[in-house]
Amino acid sequence: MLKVLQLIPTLDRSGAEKQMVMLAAGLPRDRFRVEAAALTRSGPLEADLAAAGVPTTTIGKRLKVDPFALRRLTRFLKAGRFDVVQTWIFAANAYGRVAARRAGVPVVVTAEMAVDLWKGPIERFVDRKLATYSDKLVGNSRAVVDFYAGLGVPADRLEMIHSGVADDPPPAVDPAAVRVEIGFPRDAKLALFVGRLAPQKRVADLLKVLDLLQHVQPDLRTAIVGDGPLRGSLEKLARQLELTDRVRFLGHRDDVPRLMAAADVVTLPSEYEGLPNVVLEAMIQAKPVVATAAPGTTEVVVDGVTGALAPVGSLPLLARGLRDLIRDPRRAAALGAAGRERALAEFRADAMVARFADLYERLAAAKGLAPAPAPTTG
Amino acid sequence: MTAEAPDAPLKLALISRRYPPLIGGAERVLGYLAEALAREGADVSVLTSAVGEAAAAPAREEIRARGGRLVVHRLPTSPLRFVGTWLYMRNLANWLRSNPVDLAYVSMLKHDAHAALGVAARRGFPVVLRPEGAGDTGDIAWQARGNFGGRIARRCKDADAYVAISKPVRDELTAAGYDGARIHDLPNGVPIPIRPWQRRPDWRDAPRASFVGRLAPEKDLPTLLSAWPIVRESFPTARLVLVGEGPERPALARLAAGLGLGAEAFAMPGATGDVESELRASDLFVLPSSEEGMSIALLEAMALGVPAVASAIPGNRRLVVDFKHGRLAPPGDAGALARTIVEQWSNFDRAFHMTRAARGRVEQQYAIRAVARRHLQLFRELIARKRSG
Repeated sequence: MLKVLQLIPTLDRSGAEKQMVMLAAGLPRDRFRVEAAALTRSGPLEADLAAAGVPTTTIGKRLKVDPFALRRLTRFLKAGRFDVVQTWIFAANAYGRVAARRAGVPVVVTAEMAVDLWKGPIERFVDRKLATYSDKLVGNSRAVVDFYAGLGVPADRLEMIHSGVADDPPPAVDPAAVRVEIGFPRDAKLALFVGRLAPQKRVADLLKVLDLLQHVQPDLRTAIVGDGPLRGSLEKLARQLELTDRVRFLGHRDDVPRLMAAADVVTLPSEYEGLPNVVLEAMIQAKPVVATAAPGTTEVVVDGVTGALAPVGSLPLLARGLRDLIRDPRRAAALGAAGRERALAEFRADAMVARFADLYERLAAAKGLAPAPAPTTG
Repeated sequence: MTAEAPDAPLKLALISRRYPPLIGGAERVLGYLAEALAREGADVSVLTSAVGEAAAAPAREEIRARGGRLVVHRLPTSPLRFVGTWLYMRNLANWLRSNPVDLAYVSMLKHDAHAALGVAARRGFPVVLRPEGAGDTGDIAWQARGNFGGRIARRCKDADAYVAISKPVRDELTAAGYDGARIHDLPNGVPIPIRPWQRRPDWRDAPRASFVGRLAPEKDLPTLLSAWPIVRESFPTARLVLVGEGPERPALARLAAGLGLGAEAFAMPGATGDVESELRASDLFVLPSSEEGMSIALLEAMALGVPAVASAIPGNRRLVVDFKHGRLAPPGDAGALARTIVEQWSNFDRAFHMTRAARGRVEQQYAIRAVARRHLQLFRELIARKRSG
């Protein structure tokens, strides 16, 4: 029985956080005892963890550089006597790796979920420095692994485990009612974007594409779900492009699966991704995806098979992809079905969990931690 | 020396004998550039002559510019030939002698350039010259035939740098013996309106095509007028509006009457200070010119994103790729021009698509803000080079 901790900055309902909860809840209880810790603050996913019987701790980091939080985290790791600590997202990766080394945690695994082009010289320096502090850096796509190999992480410390998507039964929805509820005509064609409104997602490109399509596809409406630093300027751009009837900014929503079930197509115009969760969720719901051929996205969406890909920033091609799928519901349904098939074959949640479980046990064995045999009952 | 710290505002003299409120493409370009340089933090003094309509404008006018400062000085001159030029040159030199600047940027390689270079030789500030055109009406052609053209040309060769707005301008400078290493390619820039042009919901009831520019012979407006009755065979309510003023007005009015174009089909409302509103009220921008360097009117129409038809001459081809950013029609061919206009209106969704590509292209390559920044970078390099000897 290995004792495992999942350490992540917050428990917000976001991509990496959802993967973490899926993993924590899914690790077989006869081989692992699992806990979770939020470095900065808790969030709505704490309830999901509680439901799965995973105890949660909040460390409460307040400052960007917070030595007190580091000390609290180190003490917590020592007291918990964890065999394996897995860290997620930059802040937890940095604090977690330092604290785990100080606390003498035998196995440290670092999860990287994006081709983090935002990282500047400081972040890259920290990543390079700390690369040797973890036994494995696990990227959720080929693009992520290549990116960290390029930053100088040695090949034998890199591992690729695809993100997983749970095959939950899609919520039953009345698509017309959902359209009316968000302020669109009941028979409108609905495109859905879900993501953080940050430069990486290039939502301004999507708005320009909608401007381009306003006359050739007058029935197209777009719901933009998510929040972020660019929300104000994007809403302003939508007004300047006179798109206010056709685009709704819905902010953060807890019913994304329901909105997705009502949508005709899911779109993602990003500059870069790791392995976009929203695309996996669209595929498992058999929705076609129109996206940019961004690093990460290309590993999920197969152009012409499960959706349409356009070069990053190519507005006319993105517009054409959207228009073609909106106009041809039969083809859209076929691409959606192929997407679901692919998600079930390549991106199963249980496969992701099994690969992490196997990785933990391999690394533990290499450190001489023979996993204790599961207590036999009866 | 006026700017000690490297980030102190640059004191720039932007010299052009013609400047807004005078109406014309070159004047508008300089106006945009002066404002954009000020917005990027420069302290810009525009030196121009109080000529024509500008005589009624104040001699010193401070224009609001966030970031830096923009002051227009309209120097006294005279309507008499020779005397006017001499007075303007003397006042220009006096101003430059008594107001230290870090750099002078001069539009056209004519008298103003001669005066500025004369003062700069003693004061030591760099001078950048900017030809406004090529060909028969260009600066090099003027030097070959104008009064004192030879003397002015010799002194112009002493300038620290030249800004070429197009390849023909660069080629002419090189051919005339100007130092190629000192020629810098910087295109004209236009502001990008925040709101793009939108299709009018009822445009089909009375589609309107507009030309914006001077009513001058090189615009070949007779071809456009002759095309109009043909356009009206397909779009019987189509209106043609020529926005601008110029020497060809009487001839154009006569031609319109001869073609039977009444007030419902044709109008020449004169010049306007608000081109954008005219274009927003239009369903097509048409530029039938037989000669253009880099048309500001076309750039502005593209930046706004209004459907366009232009003559397929080299200057327009540099801006518009046919079927991508708008449509091109063979020059001087009224039938072909009419057909292209009718095609744009018959495929209005496709025309709309091209408008957004055109706007994207101008945003990428001809946005005044980016052009101003490239100017400032050049200016800083020249100033640093001059000071380090």
